[in-house]
Amino acid sequence: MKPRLLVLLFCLFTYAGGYAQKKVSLSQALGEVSRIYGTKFSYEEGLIQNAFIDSELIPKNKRLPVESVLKELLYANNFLFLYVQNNYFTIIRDSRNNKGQDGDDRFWKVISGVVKNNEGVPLVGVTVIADGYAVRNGVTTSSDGRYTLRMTDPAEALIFSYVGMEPQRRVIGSHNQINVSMSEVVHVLQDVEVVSTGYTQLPKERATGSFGTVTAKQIQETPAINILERIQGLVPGMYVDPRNNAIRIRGINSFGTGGTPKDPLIVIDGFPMAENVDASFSLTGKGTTQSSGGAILSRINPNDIESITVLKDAAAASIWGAKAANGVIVIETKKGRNMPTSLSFGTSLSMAAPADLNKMDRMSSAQYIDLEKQLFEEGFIGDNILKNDWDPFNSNKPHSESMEWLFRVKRGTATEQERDAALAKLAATDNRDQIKDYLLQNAASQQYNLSITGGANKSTYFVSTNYSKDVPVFKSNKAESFTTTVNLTNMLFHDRVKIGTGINYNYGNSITNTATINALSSNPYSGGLLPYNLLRDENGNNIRRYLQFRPEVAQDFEKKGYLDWAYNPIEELETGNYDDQTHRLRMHMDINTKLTSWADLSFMGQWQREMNNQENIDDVDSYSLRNQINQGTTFNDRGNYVYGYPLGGRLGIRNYNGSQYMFRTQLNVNKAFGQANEHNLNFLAGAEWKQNDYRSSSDVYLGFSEDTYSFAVINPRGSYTNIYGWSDYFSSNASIAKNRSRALSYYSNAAFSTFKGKYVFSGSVRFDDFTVVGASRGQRAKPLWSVGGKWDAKKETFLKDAVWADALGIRITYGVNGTLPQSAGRVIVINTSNDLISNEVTADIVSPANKQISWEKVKTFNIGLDYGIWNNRLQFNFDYYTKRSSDIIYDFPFNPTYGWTRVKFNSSTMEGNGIDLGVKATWLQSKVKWNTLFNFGYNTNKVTDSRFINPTRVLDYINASVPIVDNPTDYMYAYRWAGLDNQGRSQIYKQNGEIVSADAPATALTVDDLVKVGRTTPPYFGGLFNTFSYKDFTFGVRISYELGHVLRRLSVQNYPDYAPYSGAIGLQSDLALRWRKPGDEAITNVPGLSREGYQYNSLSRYANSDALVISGSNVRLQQIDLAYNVPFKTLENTPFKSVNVSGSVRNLGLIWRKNKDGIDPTYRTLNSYSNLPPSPTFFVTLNMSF
Amino acid sequence: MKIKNILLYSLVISGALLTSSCRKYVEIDQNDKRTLKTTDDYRYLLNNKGNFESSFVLPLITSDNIAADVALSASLAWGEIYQRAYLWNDYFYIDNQQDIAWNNLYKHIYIANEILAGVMGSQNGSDAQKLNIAAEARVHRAFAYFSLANQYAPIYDPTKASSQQGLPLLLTPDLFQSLSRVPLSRVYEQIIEDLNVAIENLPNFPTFNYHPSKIAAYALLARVYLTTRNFEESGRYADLAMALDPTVYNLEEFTAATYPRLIDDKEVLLSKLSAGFIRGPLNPDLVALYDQNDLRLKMFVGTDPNTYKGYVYIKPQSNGNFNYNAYIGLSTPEIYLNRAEVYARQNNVSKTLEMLNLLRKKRFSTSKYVALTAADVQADLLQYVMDERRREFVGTDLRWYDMRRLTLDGNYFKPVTRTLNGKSYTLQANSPRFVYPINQEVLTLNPEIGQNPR
Repeated sequence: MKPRLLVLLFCLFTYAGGYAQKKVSLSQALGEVSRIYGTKFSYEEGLIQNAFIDSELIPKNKRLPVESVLKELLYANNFLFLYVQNNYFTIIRDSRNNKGQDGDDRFWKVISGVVKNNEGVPLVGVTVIADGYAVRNGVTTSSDGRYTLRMTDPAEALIFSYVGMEPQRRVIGSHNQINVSMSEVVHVLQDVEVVSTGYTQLPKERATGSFGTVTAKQIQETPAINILERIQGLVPGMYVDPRNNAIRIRGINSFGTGGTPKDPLIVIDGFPMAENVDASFSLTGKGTTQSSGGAILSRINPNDIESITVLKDAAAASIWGAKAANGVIVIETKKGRNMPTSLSFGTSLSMAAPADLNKMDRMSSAQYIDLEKQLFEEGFIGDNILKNDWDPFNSNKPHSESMEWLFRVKRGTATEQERDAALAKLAATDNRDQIKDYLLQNAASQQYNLSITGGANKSTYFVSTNYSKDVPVFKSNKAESFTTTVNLTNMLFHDRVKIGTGINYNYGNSITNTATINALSSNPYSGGLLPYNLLRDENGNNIRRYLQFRPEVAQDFEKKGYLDWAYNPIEELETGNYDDQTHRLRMHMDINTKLTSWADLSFMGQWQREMNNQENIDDVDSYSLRNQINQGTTFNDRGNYVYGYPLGGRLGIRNYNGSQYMFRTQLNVNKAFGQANEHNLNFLAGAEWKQNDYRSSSDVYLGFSEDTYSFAVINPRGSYTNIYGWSDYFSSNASIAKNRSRALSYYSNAAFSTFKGKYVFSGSVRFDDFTVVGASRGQRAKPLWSVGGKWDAKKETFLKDAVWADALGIRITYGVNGTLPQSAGRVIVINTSNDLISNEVTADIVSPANKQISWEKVKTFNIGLDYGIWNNRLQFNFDYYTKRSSDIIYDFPFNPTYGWTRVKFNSSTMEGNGIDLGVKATWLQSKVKWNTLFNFGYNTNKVTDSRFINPTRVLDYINASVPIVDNPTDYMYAYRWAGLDNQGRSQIYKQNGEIVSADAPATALTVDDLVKVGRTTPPYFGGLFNTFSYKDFTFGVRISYELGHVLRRLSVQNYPDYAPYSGAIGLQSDLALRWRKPGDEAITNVPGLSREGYQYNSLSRYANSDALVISGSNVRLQQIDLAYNVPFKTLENTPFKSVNVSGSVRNLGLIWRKNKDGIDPTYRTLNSYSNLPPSPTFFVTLNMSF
Repeated sequence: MKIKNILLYSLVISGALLTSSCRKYVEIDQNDKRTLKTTDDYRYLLNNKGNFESSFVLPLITSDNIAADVALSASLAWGEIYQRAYLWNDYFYIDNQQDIAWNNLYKHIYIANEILAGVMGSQNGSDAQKLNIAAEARVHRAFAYFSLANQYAPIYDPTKASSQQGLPLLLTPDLFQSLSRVPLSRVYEQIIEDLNVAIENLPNFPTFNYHPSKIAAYALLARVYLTTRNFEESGRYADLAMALDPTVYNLEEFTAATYPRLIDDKEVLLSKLSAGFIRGPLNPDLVALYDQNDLRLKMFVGTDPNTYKGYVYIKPQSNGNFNYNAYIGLSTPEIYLNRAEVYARQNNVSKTLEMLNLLRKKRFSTSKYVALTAADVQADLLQYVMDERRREFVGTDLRWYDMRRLTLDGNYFKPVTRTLNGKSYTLQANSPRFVYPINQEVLTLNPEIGQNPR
């Protein structure tokens, strides 16, 4: 919309008098309309001052459309109302009354014409006004769509507006007749008109910085429980990784070792979210490791979110000071509106099958047996039937079933025929169906949301509750979240004081059981299943295996009365449940006092509390406890059992109790001045106090009984004799920690806009001071600042009428953000803890006194271009930025003679730059609507500190363990693969083409022999969202992409690289491709088994060679959804205001990948189950409001 | 409201912000992360075993307690650094490999220096507490310098020690001081001074054996004077230590029961651990020195038929797992054997026998114990003491130090020849290889230290 030079008067606060009066002022009447419909008005100061209307005309409820009410109120008084945007009108004087006055020469110009819609139907009541400086002539079209406008003053153009239609602006020039065809407003891609910095709401046109916005509607379009999935790809330059529960805005700013966080700051309703112990922020409670069971815990109700603003550059983020260098995510929750109570209910259910186990990177049973045969024949594995000298009994770990058959023949206890028959049977056995049936389940999620919102006279409210439950594919795992939000607004003292109150409670509970995850691991001693290890026999009985000792040894103990020593994963599903409960409470209050019409003062406070209780119970029936107890059980002289390790379960508890308070006082000024208020100053200044504190404690109880909740007291310094005849020691498992830190900030922010917003200047400055041990105030408190400017070129006269640009603006900002070092200082910093054996308090020196430690700084430059064409149906937002980080803290090698091998100095530098591009398009907007949102982000960085030149160690490159000048921080180098030699061992090319054999020591290769293969994080990423709608149906397709990075494919793990070999043997399918005999080197790259030395070189060079480097580029189909909005007409006689039903499918897999190996690059880095891409998830969602 | 009022409000608010003690607001103490401020903070540093316990390992492999010929499997299990040390190579470390002993010992010195620099000025402690903390730090520093001097400095020769190249002697925690070496005599003077200053502020016995005590300081002085060949003084300090009635376990008690763990081991006077472990194989000559009834042969030594193909050192753990770090600190048997050596050097046969028998009585089961007589040792009294030291100190660093000392005792030192991977080397009495090389990385950062002659 075009900004108008009107005083914006939000009539929400206008006091409405009694209804008994016959006549009331028009402004009072409009105030009532605002209250009932939530409508906003703007008009010239004094325009309606002396207008009065019949009090009967004031509406009592929303029965009539607001336009009808306004006609009644305004037309009688010779006013017109012009549609500005949804529920927002401007009021002008109707100049049609001038009609019939003498002579056209009294007017500057008389223009007439016809206004029709797309289909050629004349539109009645279209407002036509002149657009010009202080020109207020206007008419509406008559019943045939015609109008005649007599203009008293010169104007540049006419503006046509009509409810539900896109407003149009036509240049008058020399025309006397202007015919217009109007088209419907497309709501789908409507811009958020304000951006929220958390401290203030800023009209977007006055924002110089780089902001990304996500609307409530966009968040609603994805039904996933995980909010990260909902916002993935929606903001250019924001890389969202739901798999690792991470968000990166414009890449990283530091490679240092000063403990610099990489997560963005998350702000909810103006206050930072309470930090975790490790000072990081996260939106979900998902564990990043597989062992967490993978269920999602929501920390915030997605349905409560009104908008998310992502602050990307210095001007945007510097207001948040020292924690803002990684960007800021500002979340505003929904507030009540002044309207009758509205109730909405939504639910979403999802279902997904377990991932296809046939795609698991695992050898078949036959291939695994074949590998064991070779290991047996070549003597890698020794027999374990005899006990070692030092042991009182045979404590060897058992062989696998196939290995045991091989040894039976050697021992003479089985014939070759028996062995071959048994092995053939095993080779034909595949446990994948049983794993799927007994250990996995369909993943399912449920979400229910209920909200009530509304408002009356002086107060508004928004109340919501949300329940979600997530059940992952692993059995006996689940997570539940419950969230309640109450947001209230009250006006007091003749609307002078506004009090906003918010209360938010979030409860999360997750149950974790690791039986399935252990069964899918490749370590047989912790329960990992070999490909032929079934879970149940043909009679449906559980197959129970011995993991600790050979069966006859274990059974021998069992006969003596020891606890059952066998293991079956199905049984473990019931025996060990880790219960994690978290309560989060957030309460805030904002008392805003109006000082004048253009200044107000706010006092704001927030209190957050997080309480976490973990109860990790391992039953006495669980394998791990039975195993532990058995190993601690002996007999005394009289033959009685002595349970050295208490007989019973194990309870581990952890309590965390954290709280945070913040208090802020802030002065806001919003003053328009100059001729016709064409200039505007937006200024705020304030101070903020913050304290975080927490206390956590944990302990482990042994001999625990869940029935009686009792436990056995042990002496933490005590010991007991185990079955091997030596002593095992207890130690205290208790821990306790407590801490408190504070921050103090002063900040100010100003935006000055001139000439109706043609030029905008902005600046911000902030001082932050934190509790940092060992830092003087001079080091802690540093000013952070930013400056910015914006030129709205479209407002220049020479562009006003340009058809090639419906919007054109340039933004430039520059500023400094900082990060405070956490682990280095000018004085010695010590860490204290307790010695668990002596119980003495101990301390270690974390860092020596270093007089040169200060902040890390990031200087960001941003230039942005906003461009719109085709009536702004095609919009581009382009940003280019550079970031220069300096004073990065890095530990440089130091002479160990001083006591330190490395000492931290903040003296390193790096640079980054990138591009954010967002494109919004409305291709079709008639019956069929088609909208596209395309986001593209590019980010790269390089280390500029010349001290990181030329590491000499090959392994530094291969492990990417040190920064290298002129390289990005996430570089990857690889060996040049030269294939296997005729012994099945790795060969690597040197730079000159010479081949280095596996026998050659590490020194045979130099850094020049390596090849630089690329970066490991995707430099290019983004999303493409298409929405099609026809009548009441909407169809959406969401695509995300990551391009330009590389990764190392996992080939072989736990490869038997020495003899005698003990321990787990990898199960990866590549192991089956191993070199077997001379000649195989022509067909495989996987090194062969070898008893000779230097296998380590052979295997590690293979694993780190370019043969295993693949491109990570991929395009993924994230979601397809189809929604149906039940038409209003159908609902007319029902209590429903709206009903919306939708179905979505997520995780549809790859559309394109660059690598030719058939590998989904997002899911290849780990072994076992997590190397599988998730299978499609089906959602059904229902939303309705009453 | 008028503009005047707004200005007034703003002034009041900003004035309040700037004048209140905002700096104090954020400068609060932390519970877990703090700076060295109170006397207790310094005490906590000494309570942390991790700060002073882990020391070094190579003297266990360079001494002739390890066989002259090892199986390939054993040498592979050792890794490159041990292999090079085994052959007393020109260099032990390549690339970025760290010299763990140098790093650990100088870190001990740094922490001790940090304590000594600040403890006397710390808050909330009595003078007695502060002096005790300083005394503990001095003993740790003395132990570290003694260990460094016997690995990286030449064999102490009283006739030329003031011109022998010693070590960088750091006595303050300054990170930018000179690292030039001081003469070897200066290093020993510092060690002796530290111990003498410490003694009066130490308790006779410690609460836990990782805390230095008077008896540990006496034992270390006895060892230091033995090294500087001031036998008179060595004997005097051994006597002072013995006057405190040190415990020597009767090993027979542990043939059935579990051997105490390190923290409970009353024989240990100052607990230090090897930085890494060495399993063996032991020199057959050493194994042959044991009487078949000697319980140490059963309890300190085991056999491993696989990797090491022979005898291995197992003392600390009786649980069959060899992969533990060895005890290399100060112990009570050392007091008796130091005293015995001094008596032997003074040719006091009866006193020597008394000392040896005091220990030997505890090393045999009562039924098998036969006291030594003058006839048993008459062939060579000192040699007998040195053999007893080998038997008792198996699996510790002391044999390497004894070998170094014995090079000044004529025939008592026997050259050692070793072969590994086709390379062979004989360690002669005058060999520069008795001094460990300094890690090139250390020299690159501070060339003024200077490499030891190779």
